[in-house]
Amino acid sequence: LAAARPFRTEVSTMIHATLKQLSQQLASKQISAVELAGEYLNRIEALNPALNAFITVDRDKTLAIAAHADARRAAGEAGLLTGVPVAHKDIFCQQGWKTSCGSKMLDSFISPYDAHVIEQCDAAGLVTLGRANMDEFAMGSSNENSYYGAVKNPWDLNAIPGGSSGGSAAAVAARLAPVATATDTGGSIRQPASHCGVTGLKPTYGVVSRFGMVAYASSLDQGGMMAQTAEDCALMLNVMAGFDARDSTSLEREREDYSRDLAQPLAGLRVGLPREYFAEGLAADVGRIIDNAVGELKKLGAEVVDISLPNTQLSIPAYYVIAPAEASANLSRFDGVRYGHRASEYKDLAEMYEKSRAEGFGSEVKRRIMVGTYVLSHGYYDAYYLKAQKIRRLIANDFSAAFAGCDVILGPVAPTAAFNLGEKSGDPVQMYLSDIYTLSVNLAGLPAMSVPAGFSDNGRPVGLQIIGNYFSEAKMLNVAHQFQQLPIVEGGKLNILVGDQEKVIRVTRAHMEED
Amino acid sequence: MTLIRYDKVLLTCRIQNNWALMTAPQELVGVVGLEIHAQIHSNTKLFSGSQVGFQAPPNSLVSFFDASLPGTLPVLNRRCVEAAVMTGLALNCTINRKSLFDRKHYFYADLPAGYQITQQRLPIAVDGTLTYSHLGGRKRNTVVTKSVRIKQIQLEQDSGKSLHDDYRSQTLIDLNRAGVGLMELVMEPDMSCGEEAAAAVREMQLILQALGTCQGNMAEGQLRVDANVSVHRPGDPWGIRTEVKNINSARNLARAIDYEIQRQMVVLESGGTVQNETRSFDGKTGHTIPMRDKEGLQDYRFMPEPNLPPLMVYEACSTAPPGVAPSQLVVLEEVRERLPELPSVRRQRLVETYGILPEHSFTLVNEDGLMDYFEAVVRETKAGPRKVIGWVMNELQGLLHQQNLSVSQR
Repeated sequence: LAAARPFRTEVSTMIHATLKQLSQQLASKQISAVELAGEYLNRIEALNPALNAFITVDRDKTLAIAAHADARRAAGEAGLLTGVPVAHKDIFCQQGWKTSCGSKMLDSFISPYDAHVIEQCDAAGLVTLGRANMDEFAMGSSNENSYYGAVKNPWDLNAIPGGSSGGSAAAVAARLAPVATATDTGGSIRQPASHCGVTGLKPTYGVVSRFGMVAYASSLDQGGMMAQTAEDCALMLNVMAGFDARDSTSLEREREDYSRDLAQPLAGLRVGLPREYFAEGLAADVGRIIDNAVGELKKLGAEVVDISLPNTQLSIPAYYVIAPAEASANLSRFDGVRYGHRASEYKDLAEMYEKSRAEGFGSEVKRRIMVGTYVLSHGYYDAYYLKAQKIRRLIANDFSAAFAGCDVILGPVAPTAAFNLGEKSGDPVQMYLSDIYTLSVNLAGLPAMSVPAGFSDNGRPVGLQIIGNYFSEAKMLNVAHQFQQLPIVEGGKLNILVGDQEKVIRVTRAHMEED
Repeated sequence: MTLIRYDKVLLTCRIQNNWALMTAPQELVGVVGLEIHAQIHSNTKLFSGSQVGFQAPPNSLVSFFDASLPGTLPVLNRRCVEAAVMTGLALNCTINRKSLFDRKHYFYADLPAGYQITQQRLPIAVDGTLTYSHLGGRKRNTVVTKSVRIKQIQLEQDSGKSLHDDYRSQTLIDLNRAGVGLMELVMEPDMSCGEEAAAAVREMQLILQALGTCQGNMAEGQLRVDANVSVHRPGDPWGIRTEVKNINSARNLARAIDYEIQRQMVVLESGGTVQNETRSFDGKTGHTIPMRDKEGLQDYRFMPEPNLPPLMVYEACSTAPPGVAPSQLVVLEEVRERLPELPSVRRQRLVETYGILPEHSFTLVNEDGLMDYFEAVVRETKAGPRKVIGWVMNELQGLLHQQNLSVSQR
């Protein structure tokens, strides 16, 4: 590992700071936005080669944005998050930045416009640190499908970080960024957050505008974030959420402060535990961690309710029909005609299309496009796509029935902790099966979170999934926040660089302690 | 041979129209349906804010959405919805309170997204009628009124344009037209020859122009008509149909249809079978020729458009959901109030008010500005309307024709 630039001692603790703490440090002028960005850029330079969490980093551009944030502060125009650094998943179109979606197809695409999410973050004064790596076009659960190479899990470099927002999760976990934007179509925020020991949130469908968010499966995609704490996620959701007329599925609702209920006591909270989420297939260590977490919440006053989500198993085939179908449509535009990869030699239009797409797309993307094309084709539409949409309705009904008797639903995020790189990449169906606990949420359009809950037998993080009813983000964040105030119960180890020295850090919930 | 056949087509058309079918039961007759794509007369495109304009520099009226840049999304243009509703009401359609958008997939360089957004499952308007008239009888002075059923009206995107440069072996793509709003009007096969189809299209043009929802100029591509043509013996099941495209005027529409009917009759009477194919009309020869089977057995893989919620229109302000801004609503009551006088009503009024002959009322209404001019002259000079009509028909028309002017040019 290359020697990193030495850190100022008092600044090294910034690395573990939450957004709230960074905001306070910036406001009290203990550090400038330029200095803060510089520290993170140094860490990225030192650690990213091993992790591959970033596709694009542009030091000069970032420092210029940071300088602008400092100028705003000097002019008295600073907001809560002005000058706070952020990593953006490479799926949000950002003007002047390569927006690759982890694909060779868009390796040459410099976006001419900003996504709504980017606009909101820029308006809040957040400073772009770089563009986070991801599974190609958001298709994947391991971040092994990126044209730019796999992302490594900072907790164990042999492990996957999860996907598709693997770069965002790894960046936050390794303290290369205090917060990262991400997207979740079938679990792509929650699962990497779980595997990397960070807090992630996917909002209710329609709460965050999809304008400028490159589409994978339009009826399932939602933008969200990852940070170290639930409180940070709430602050970030305040920035990202809101009506946008440019997205016809964006919801016009009264503005909310998602941090308003963080401190609410949990007494009387009814927590639903779906029996289907604790059945065969769940690893013993994961089950234990979730049980412990539920036990902790009971001590805080929560009441456990046994519920059933009978169509859980059907979520896998339903999702893997609907999502590829929509993806095959959404990715039809990538033909090399107007932007993106175009083959160098072709004899006619058909060949240009065939070669450009064959060369530009990776194998998982091609697989899903073919599946999607098949299920939409004449004679199969009713049997597959239409049927899957009907199952989707049943799944949504399951949740509605369950929420009649509980306030939040808890469960695991994935059947196991992070598996090894290469372990499942040869068997796509095995990969798909591990999405069992997260897919239903997207099919129903519900909000959900993952919060760090413990470590597996082999020392890899395990997250607790919190699923809320529509528009109950504040309630979910409340539950997560209260959980994160609990004293340390279990610990895990993260080897990270601080200055020139490797330090071993115990990370549990939201607290960081150096050994 | 050709001449005799052409007359036979007209004869069978008239037989079917004027007499009961018992007269010539073994004769093959033509069956004609039309698909009309009418460009909506609006400032901006159907799903994006770029300007709608004609003959602008290539690719100068293209937004990120029109070019299908990643991450772009459709936003429905209210004016286009109003235009479709108004057109539907003028054609006595049932307006679907709820209609849906779909994606129709195919790959071509002038279709940037690889799919067209259209309304396949549940269009905005259905089950209407277009009543049209043409001059029949031996002296072509008898007004014959017909009607054709409108199956549906759907909103959809227009595609861009491809210009093939064979010299340099390249194709140039102009996306100015990509995303412009279209109303596709589907007419049931209630017509039997070219003359009827041409008359129906002319009436449709007048209606759309009166409504202001489409400028209707076929030569400029504002109104594009494809004909579905087949032949059969009355009482028998319908024959195989062909689709005829590349028609740029009502007159050529008539020529194309009559040629195609004749061609199919010849095929059948010599023992052959008609192919289900798409044919292109060649204006120079008057023939239809098979097109390269680009669309042959295309599977468009229709899928609901997930980026657009169902389109809801409301009967009255009172039935609309509360708290929604008027700019976000299309209310049928309001659109109905704004319906202008339709050409058929106009003609009726002229005949009743001025006592002129029905065929003259056609001329007055057909020519842009002529009716207003006629009424102004009658008003100013206080001369007898019939006298004015006579003068208009003979002297004025002759003068204009000679100088190659139109009335609106003065």
